[in-house]
Amino acid sequence: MRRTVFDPTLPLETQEFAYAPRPGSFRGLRVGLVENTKFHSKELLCKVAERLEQQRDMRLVSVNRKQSSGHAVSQETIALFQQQVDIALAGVGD
Amino acid sequence: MNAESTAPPTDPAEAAAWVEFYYQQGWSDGLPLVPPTEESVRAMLEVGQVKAEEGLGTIAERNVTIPAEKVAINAVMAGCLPEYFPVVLAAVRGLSRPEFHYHNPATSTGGSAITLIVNGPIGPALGVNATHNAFGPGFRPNATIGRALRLAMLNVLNTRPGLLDKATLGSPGKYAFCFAENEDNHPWQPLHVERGFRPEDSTVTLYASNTLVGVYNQLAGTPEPLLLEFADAVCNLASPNVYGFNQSLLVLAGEHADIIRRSGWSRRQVQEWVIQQARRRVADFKRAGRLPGEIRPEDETTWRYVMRNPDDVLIVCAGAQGGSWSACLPGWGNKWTRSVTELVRA
Repeated sequence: MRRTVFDPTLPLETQEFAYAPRPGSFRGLRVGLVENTKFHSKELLCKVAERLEQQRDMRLVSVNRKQSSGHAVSQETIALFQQQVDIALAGVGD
Repeated sequence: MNAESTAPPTDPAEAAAWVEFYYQQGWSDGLPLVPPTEESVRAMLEVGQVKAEEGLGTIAERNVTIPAEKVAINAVMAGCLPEYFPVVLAAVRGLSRPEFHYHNPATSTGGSAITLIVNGPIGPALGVNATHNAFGPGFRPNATIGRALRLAMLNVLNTRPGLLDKATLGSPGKYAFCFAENEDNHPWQPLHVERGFRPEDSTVTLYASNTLVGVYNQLAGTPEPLLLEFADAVCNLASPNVYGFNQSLLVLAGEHADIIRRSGWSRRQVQEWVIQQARRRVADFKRAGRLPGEIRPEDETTWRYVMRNPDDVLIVCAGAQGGSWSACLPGWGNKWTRSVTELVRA
């Protein structure tokens, strides 16, 4: 006898995406930081950016602070980064 | 042999096989599930007055809109009776409100329990316990309404340990944490009226609580010494409050509620007093590694307050009349999540 099984889960919706083209060199690339408000987040990201500037000749051009660690990056920031930034860095930094 | 006359006519082994089957699908919180049937799911939807495909809310960060039927299935599995379902629906709608910001407390290493506080006539009507052992076992509405929400979080919102639930330790309250406010002998208006609802409305309030601190005081006869304990619980060195100015929930049980009522203190007086006393010296925080830097002489005499806004001190009454116990539930957050109260559409 066939029985009905009620599945309590929701199927995951998937989306296809493509990576941005990889740059041939880091030299001169513009860096944007997404700081998530956690205690060491900004400090950690700025250290990484500092090393990228010193060792890879990149430039830090924008630091964005999210509303909180669980909030998505705002659409305004995404639009800004699309215009001004070649590489975005984000991190936890608890 | 136990009595047979009132037992269901089906073979218990068949039911046990279904329970085991549901375990094997990975749909359980670790406890046995009630296998749903067409009738039981339909009964939930009918009492809740929702269509199966109706979206109850959206969690943007999870890219999920929550269908009513999935919540009904989880409510059946949790052991809910159909008449509980309007409360479950209200809880799910509350979960989806932007200011609650589900993704934060549900995902965090802090591992908060989503506390449900039922107010209004539906509490007594359903038998949601507000008195003895209000946080503990023994009452089907408390256990299954709270469990239904957590099962929906697991199964519909994929809030699974290690996946989208990154709790370091979690909390027993994550199985189920639901109680009703004891609105009898209350010092003030109950929570839902304080929040703008009518006394005859029924509501459920969602609050992301980090932990539960017992507040024991058998000698206090006035508010000050009692509230000093609450303030101490709010600002203990281990509290995340140090950085976030979180909300905190104070639960006054019978004897302590009596002290406050007899004093004539208003809710606002109590909130402000707790705010003023929930403080520690900067040096204490630095010694415990909760604030960075060397301890300077002035740190020994400089207060750091852990709450700012009196409205962030939520106060409800619950628990037995006897006993010198109350509780403080420091909150998971403030700007990252806000407690919300949702009308139960019964």
